[in-house]
Amino acid sequence: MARVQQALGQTVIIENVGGASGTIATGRVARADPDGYTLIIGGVNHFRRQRRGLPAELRSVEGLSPISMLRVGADADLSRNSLPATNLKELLVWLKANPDTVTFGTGGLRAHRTSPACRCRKRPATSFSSYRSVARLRHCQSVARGQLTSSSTRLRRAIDRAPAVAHAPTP
Amino acid sequence: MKQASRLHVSIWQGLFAPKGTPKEIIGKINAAVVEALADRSCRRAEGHRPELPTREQQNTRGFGAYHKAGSREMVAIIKAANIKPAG
Repeated sequence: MARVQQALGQTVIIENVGGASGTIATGRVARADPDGYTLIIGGVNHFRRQRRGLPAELRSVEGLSPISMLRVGADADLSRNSLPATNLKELLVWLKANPDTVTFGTGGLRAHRTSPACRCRKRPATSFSSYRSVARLRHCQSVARGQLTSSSTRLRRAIDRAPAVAHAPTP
Repeated sequence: MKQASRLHVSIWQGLFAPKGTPKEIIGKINAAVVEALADRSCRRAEGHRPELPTREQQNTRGFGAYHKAGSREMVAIIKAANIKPAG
């Protein structure tokens, strides 16, 4: 960061605007002056087109212009090592058989849509824990400590930052 | 592992600006991003499993098209599967 500021000869502020699955952050940037001094980096989940029926302030993605993709990869589901499931199919079977004991962590709300726990029909019994930001990987750490049963995150993050947990790539 | 579904969803991260940002500025920032992604130290930081986008995806127009197509694809899936928001 210091090097960026040195290279540009001015202060650069990085603000981690968590909350509402990124809607607050995209809204802030959509309303900012379009002068190239305010930009946003986020994941695919932050930039999905929003439903037409929503109020304008919730359809902030329409107010953004793409510049470049920065990285692309697979998503991953993590589970604690003591869980008997070792792949997605087994995880779904296990989730259906044990709906009362599942605790599932996500960074924000988005992973609910893609998670195996969400695909489980007995979902109401599943306990979801939403973590405010994916950046610190608290949800992955909680899985590693056995506080949560499973969690969703980027595959690369799972490999790098949560080596203590088993992971099965989501198809 | 046997594929459970033919649906393939990639997770990407991208850079956006407020709509109305002049094309020249977007072009300048894009050029800097492309240069950074090609930089050796950036690739080294990615390790042995790089998740770098293709040249086409790094390109503003290519990324825009990919972004639009991705949303369209999701809308088609949501309609075909009759998925309704919960609560």
